[in-house]
Amino acid sequence: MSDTETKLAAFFRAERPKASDAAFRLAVLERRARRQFYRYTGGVVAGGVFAAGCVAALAPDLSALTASQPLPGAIPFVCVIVTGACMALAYARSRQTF
Amino acid sequence: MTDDDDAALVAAARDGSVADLSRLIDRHQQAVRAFLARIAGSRDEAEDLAQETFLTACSQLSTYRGDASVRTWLCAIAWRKAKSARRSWFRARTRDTNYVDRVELERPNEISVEEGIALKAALSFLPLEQRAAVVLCLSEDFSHADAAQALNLPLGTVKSHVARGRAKLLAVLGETS
Repeated sequence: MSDTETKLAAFFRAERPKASDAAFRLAVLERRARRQFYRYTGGVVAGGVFAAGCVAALAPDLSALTASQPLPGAIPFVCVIVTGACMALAYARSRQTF
Repeated sequence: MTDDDDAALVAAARDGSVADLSRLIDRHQQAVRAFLARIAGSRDEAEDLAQETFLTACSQLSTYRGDASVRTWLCAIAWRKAKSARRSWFRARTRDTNYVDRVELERPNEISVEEGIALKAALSFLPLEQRAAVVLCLSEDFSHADAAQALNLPLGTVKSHVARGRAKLLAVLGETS
């Protein structure tokens, strides 16, 4: 190998990232977890809006949009339980990444 | 490291093993980042694209068929990312600069600073496809066939790109062909 070829090889070796770089790996996994969290949260919010829309369309008298009307006690309770379960699921899924 | 090991890691990562996914990232990050560092506009853009490459790979593990090595497959994704990044100027606004500040590099000293600068400039003047072929074959030790697969180019085109690019870089160092 000539001197210039040796120098060219050295140039391509120069400024290479480290062979093992925990910071890069963690940055990728952290970015992936963040995206998963946004996706699950978006899904939960979209599901909630869809569910609220369905309730409002199918049973206008029970809709949260007509809160001034008397609501059966079970509806808000069920909503809170379902929302809590969805958030717990999203949190658990995002935690799995690490 | 063998292709069989990689295939096993991909299969395990596809089944949800984060430990195997981490191992896969660790094995191939150097090749992907070095490749992107030589063809992207800047170090921070290269790091951002490298992270995006692995995120895309994570979401497309089920599409990996094993026709090419994992390294070739990842570099093919990186190449598509680099090309599309050229078309989207607003990418610059979403870079993770805090991370880039912490990147550690290997610095051999067989080459002077002036020669390094001259070679870097010469490399940046090569057409993008030629630069990518040169980097894969001369820096990452890809065979011409693997580089052709990663860049989605005919084998003859890659061979010609590498020969011409290499001659131009050697000319910068004073070698006459």
